[in-house]
Amino acid sequence: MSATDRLDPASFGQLYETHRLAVFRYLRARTQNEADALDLAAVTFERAFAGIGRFRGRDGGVEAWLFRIARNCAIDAHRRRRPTVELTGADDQLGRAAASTDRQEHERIELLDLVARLPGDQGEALLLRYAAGLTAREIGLVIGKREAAVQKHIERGLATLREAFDDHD
Amino acid sequence: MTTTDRVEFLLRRAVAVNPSEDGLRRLDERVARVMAGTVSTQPRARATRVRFLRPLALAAALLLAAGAVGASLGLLDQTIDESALPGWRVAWDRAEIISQRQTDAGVTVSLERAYADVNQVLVGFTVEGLESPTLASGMTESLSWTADLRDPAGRPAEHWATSITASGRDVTGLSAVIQTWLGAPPATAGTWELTVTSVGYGGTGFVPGECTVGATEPQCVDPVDRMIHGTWRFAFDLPVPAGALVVGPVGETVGSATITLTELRIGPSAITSRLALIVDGDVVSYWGPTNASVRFSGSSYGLSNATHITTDPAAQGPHGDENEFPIDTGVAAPAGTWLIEVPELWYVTGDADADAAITLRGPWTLEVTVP
Repeated sequence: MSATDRLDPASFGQLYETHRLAVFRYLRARTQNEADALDLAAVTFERAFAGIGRFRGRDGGVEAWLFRIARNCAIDAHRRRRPTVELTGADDQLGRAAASTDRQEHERIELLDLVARLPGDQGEALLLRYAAGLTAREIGLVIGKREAAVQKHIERGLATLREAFDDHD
Repeated sequence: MTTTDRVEFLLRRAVAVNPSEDGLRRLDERVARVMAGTVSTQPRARATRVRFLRPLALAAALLLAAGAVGASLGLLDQTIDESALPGWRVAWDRAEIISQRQTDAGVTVSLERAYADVNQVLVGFTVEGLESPTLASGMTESLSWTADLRDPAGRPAEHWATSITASGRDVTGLSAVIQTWLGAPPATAGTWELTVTSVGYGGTGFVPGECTVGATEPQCVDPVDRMIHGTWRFAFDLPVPAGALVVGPVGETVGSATITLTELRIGPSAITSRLALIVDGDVVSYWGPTNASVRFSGSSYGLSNATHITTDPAAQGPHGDENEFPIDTGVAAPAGTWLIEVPELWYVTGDADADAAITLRGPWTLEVTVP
């Protein structure tokens, strides 16, 4: 579908079926709970459907277009929640708000916390690579960087995570 | 396995999360509704009407006012539906009708409804009079705002709230906001006060999760304050928060571990339990139950999320390390026997990470009766 120059609204169902899990996983990695991720996934596809007439294949393909929308939805959600960081003294609790009671889930949250703290676009590049399954070129189209820069972001991000895990060991 | 392999393996595993069947069904249904055209995602139809209102003569504007109120309520209602939180729907349907409008700096904020029970205070308001910039992606920018809530004693919500959640929906010229303060509001009837102090699209630049130290993005380096500052103050009366409050302690010891229920709050829109853990010979710094549930009247509610209350081990009370477990479904008639069952738990001590977690098997069963 990436080579398509225009999208037909009639094909949106197929687009949704193909990408709903990747969109959910990307947003789940950026949010604190499933409900938020599902809400943002729904908003992503609503916006995509509403804007399907504006899609142009030459701007980078369906995946890059869709995950640009998903990323913007996630950023909007962060902005919406800004009042939460103004809750005096509660930052730590809020950070833990969705901390799961399951042990493997706890490990998952710790790793994603590390990814979120990576500098610049490194964390974003890793999530788009591993959660969304995008190529370096597609990631570049989502975050506005060149393919080589994205590759460096991914390598540096992984290197930082390895160092963190070496420290743990 | 090398470290390199391990990091990539862990990363792939960390993101390979599937939605629940119920969640996926709701997502499918929501997208299907959009595709079927039963939900309007096209902001243009409403945008035209809102823009059209401004140059109209007063009489004509008054005639259309009823329609505008309907649109505001419709957008708030949509926001509730799309939150996928059953408790929000209950709260919204039980909320007091406030319908107060305040205009400042050319912007009108309308507080439509407010609600309080033993677990949260929820408000729904709309913002009109701002032009939302269209993003490069063609989408409508989302509203940012700052709001302060004070209880009948005049205290800010920070005195009792443990977290704030908000959601919204925007069409050009109109934004709807649902905001909740989660925690244990004071159990008194009285006059609450909500003050919105800024609204705007695009915010002031800092975006948590986006603007890390050293970030070079324009919105991080040179933030632009596009917020409209003003005072939109609403005073409104709410009855005593609905629901039941059970104050412990109720504890059970299995082996070396004691779990204590310190508080159970059961409201129409949510259920919240506070559980604390003490393990003989260890200082617990963080813990969680596995497959724990709250049971009442034939229904079972899983304890899947937790807010860690005693983040500083030195601040732990007599019952040890305490977590608060919110459930986003409520019970309107809570009288009867409530059971909390924890089949298994894990905990860590000191600065250890989850790799060093110690698992203990129960079950721990705590029973309380609500009169």
